[in-house]
Amino acid sequence: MEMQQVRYFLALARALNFTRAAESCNVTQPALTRAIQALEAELGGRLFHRERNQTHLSELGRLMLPYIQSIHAQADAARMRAKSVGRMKNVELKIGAMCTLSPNLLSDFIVAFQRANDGVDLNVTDGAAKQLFHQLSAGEREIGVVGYPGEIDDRFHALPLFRERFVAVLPRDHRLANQKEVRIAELDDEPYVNRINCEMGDFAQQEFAKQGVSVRVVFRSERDDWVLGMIRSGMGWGFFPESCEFPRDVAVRPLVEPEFSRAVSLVTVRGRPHSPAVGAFVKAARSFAWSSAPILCAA
Amino acid sequence: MSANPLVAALEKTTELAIASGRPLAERLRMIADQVRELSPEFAGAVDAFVGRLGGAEAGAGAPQVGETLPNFVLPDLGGRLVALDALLREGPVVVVFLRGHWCPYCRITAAALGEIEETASQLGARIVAITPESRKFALRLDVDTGGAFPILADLDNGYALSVNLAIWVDEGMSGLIAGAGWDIPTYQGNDAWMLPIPAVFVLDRTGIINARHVNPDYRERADIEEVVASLRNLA
Repeated sequence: MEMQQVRYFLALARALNFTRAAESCNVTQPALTRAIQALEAELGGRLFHRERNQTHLSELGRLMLPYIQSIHAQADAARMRAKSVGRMKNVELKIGAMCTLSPNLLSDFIVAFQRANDGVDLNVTDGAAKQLFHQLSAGEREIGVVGYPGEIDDRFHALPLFRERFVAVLPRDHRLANQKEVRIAELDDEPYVNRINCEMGDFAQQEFAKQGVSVRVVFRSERDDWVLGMIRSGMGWGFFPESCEFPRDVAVRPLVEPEFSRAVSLVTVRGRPHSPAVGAFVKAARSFAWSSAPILCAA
Repeated sequence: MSANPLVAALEKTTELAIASGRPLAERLRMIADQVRELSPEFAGAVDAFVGRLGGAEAGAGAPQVGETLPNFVLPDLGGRLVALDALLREGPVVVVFLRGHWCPYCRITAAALGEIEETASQLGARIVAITPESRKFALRLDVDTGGAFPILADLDNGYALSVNLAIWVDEGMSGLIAGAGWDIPTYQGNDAWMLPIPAVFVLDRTGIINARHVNPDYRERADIEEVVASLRNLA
């Protein structure tokens, strides 16, 4: 495919009229027609059907449209990046991370990014999901790092990076602590120490309820160190993402039947023009060798 | 080792070809012959696919000898951004487009380029390869070259399209590739089934293309001896 053919294809897919598409590209209609025909020959089928005064996308054309839109945007982005790299000096990149995400998950990536982009000054703050989405909308943060169990609002674009599982954290002498793993059903009516900022916890509780498992909350705190302290002293069990830093004197066990996990994603505001630093960060995240299984993302 | 018998046999032959030290064209033929022998259906589909691309002159619009290759800024396997203009400040550059770690022809070509890296660097030149794969997968190619040169990630083939080298793998062909167990959407992180046409550009230190190999028949690759000869001319 050639850049010019791609441009003409996108113009014709928008205008659905050869004359208007040629005008919008500043070329003659025969030149546009030849380019479309060359593209059709390469792709192995008609992209448009021409019927009297009407032009519309063929099945192949409809199939190709999103792919061609995406690769065209990427080619533009590649060109922008090639031009702007010299200008990335003392740029601040404002990142908001969900407070329930452990820095352990991201530190290798952030260090690698920093080394590769030493003109970028990273500023990371944390907060609960709701607050973070608000800061992104308001432009106070440029990129969010989010592990959110629910649907992410259409106003945002989410790029999934990897999955993180959840575990049960128990006092050492808890009756379930000597098992290899903990089934959800075994937690029925067990005293539970709640992390107020854990969005996943609320989501998991609905699943527990479906299994008829009741969660008996005996303590709540916004602070993980308080919650872990209560667990260590024997108050009850807690629900944590596996990458947290746990004290040695608690038992950490995988939760099964069902397992709980969340996708950790980079979130940006759709349609907002982003700085080259945002582009470089997103691009680097996509190609980074994340240690847990990568999540396939549609183009 | 792959569960698919064709792929398993090709992996073995790739290793043999890389170790054989024979000229690149002969090593590539070992793969093409084996595909034809083990799966005439696959070989026939490839013939038809690259025949159509050739007929449509795919790749003909890529920059020509005497023109310049546009600048790129792409991450290497360590995440460091590599810019073509920065490489050119140090000397001539060989820019190589590879389809990915799953492609036996690309692995063999990468290994053959790895073998000439020392000669290239003695001549003051650098080699860089560009693939549309995420780093995790492109690491395989790095192993084949012994880490001899940077492998850069052109995710979504954006740079490849900007130099008119991106092609779409049609549904028949992508079905065969996926059926063999090669999971291109996972390697590339998108389901568009786009690939670069394998290509080699030898650039002089002003960025002008001194030699060029572009062939949509991905079974045929640049003559490595010619690449070395052009580098000698530029030294």
